[in-house]
Amino acid sequence: MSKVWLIARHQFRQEVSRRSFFLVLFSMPLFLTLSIGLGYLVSRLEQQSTTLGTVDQAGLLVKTLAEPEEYDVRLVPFDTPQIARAALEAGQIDAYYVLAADYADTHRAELVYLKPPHRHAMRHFQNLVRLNLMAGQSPAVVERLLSGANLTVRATESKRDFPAGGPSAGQFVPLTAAAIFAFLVLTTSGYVMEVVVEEKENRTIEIVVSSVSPAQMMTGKMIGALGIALMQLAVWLAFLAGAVWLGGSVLEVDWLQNVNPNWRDILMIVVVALPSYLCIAALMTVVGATLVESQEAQQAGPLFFLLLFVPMYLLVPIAENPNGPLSLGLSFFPVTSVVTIAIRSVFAEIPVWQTALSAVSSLVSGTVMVWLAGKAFRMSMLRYGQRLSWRELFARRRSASEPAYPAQVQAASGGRNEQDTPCDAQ
Amino acid sequence: MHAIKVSHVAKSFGQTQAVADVSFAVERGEIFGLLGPNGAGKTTTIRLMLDIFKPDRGTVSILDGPMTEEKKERIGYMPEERGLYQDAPLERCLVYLASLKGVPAAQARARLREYLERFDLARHKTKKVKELSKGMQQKAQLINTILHRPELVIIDEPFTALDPINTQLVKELMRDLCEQGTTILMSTHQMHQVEELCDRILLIDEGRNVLYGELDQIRRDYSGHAVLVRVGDDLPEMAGVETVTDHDGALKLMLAADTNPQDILQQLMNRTVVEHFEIAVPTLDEIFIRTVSDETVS
Repeated sequence: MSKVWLIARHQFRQEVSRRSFFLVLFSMPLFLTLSIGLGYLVSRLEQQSTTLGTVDQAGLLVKTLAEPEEYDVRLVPFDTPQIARAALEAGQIDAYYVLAADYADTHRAELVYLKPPHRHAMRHFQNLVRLNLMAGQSPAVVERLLSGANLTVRATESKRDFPAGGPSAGQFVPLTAAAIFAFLVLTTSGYVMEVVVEEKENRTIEIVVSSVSPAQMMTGKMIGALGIALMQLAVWLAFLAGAVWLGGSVLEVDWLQNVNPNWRDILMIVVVALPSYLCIAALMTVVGATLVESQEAQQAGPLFFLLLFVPMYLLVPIAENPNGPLSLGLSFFPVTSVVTIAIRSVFAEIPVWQTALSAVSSLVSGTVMVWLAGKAFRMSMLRYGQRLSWRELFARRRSASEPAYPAQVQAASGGRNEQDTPCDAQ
Repeated sequence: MHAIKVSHVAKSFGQTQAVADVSFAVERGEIFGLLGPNGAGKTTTIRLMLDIFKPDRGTVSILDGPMTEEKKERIGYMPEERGLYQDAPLERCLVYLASLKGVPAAQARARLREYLERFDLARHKTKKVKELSKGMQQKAQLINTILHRPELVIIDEPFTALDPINTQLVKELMRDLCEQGTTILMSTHQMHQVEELCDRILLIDEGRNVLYGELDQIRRDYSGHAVLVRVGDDLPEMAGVETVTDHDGALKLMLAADTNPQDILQQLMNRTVVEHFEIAVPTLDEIFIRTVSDETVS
């Protein structure tokens, strides 16, 4: 087996054997399950039927209307408001409507309740009144009027439709993908930064580089970290798919029943996310090289998460002008590109050239970062317990391939202590 | 052919000259001592040999040529900065590191069983490395260095943190390896261990060769004009003896410049019973201190 794969497998096994890994792995699905479960529980706990009293002093309610499918509404006629009120106070009905004798002139009805009735019950009564007001109309007209407005908001410039006025579940898929990407960065950032810090902390780096080249070691560890990220991603996606199926097919949540994702948008997110992850991972490796302990690496991880979510803080201006300079700028910046493009894709169709430019921008930055990560790794690998400063990292050196003053290099003059006395290399 | 041949290597880090001019060769199958005070350039020299650093000047030939990835599998290295994966169980950690040296996992596991028994670590193989004592970790590190049966072993301070029993164990192991044809280069401050184990040495100071060659020859070269004697009666007065001092149950006679040790032996044999007669040679400790002090003064 190639040594790169041996290192990757070791890195993978080391991480997955930690208890904290499983905590992270199942925290998001658990959060998802709890959210859906709680939402469903709340909806189940809501009142499922309403009994409405009617006092029809106008003599309007001649025709009857079939009960709505989604909600149980029972109408109970009363002769006088007093009797209806007594029934309300006795808890026999939830509310009652009074249509006064002059309703034909005023079109005013009175609703009396102790606690507001469910909106489905009120809508049913309103439809019943409409039905009776349209007594002379043809059935087709009546049906159309009763079904109400069917509004589709269409942004012609950005080529996006919003049926019923709001985004569908399918339109939220790119946002969900971006959120998963951000959480993936948050949870795997620690592993990636530890690629460098752990070897320094354990003092194993010198043993390993006497067996393999630093490039093989770095590649193997990065593949190991990527494997962990992919495993995490696979588990999360499986849970997400399961949650959508449960919500749509078993719990019959309308919004989740017809999720028709726009595959073009998803492909676009993936195309941008891959080089962006490479760039962020390499940047984290650079940060890791400047640190001394893996605990510091774990603390630095959330900072990247904050950066990733900058477009979320700017959601309103991006949504208002998805093709504006701010939106475009954030789309081409590697760290913010994924979330920005996901937000924009909800409100506008993003041209292919912009997606390509964003991916290329991340790829170029990622390549530079990988080079810088390699340099940082080589400079820091034998500096046990010592930080690599950013000034040193960016300083022009005669030989960038080696540390300025490894931990054990002696002072040429004066000090005889090999362990403690780094000398000024500049 | 030499196992290692280092010719006039130099290495600087910024303004710091870590190695100025070091040259030596290590013969196959010998135990070679690389000595020097703290900061002399020993560790940098080793890292240059292992291609961890590139020399600014000079050449290194290891196992008949420049270092390659393939050769790394034929070399065992125990750096001074000891380290193993602290969170990994001992067996898994050592098998993994052996696999990086090209040993199949099953073979590494079988070999490891023998070594763990020999080093009294078999009971601890499932423990995490961080749960082992410092001495145990040191032994584990040594096992890691030789588990892949290297042709060349380079050890930086092999006896650090070892108790006398384990020190003896390590010395026996080094002798065994040497008998099997393994070349060993050890860098240490413990001169008595070098005297006991090494055939040849290199003493470096401030990045330069100071002493190099056969240990016995170096000691002879540094021997003063003195003899150690033990006689049956009181020591008679003899011409050519300047001072007499006690020395480990014997008497150390410092001789005048024009006096030959053979003359002293002749005088003693004529006048008393000679139980012991030896030309006094300095210990490596004494040579080390004298040489390094002279270098510092100069």
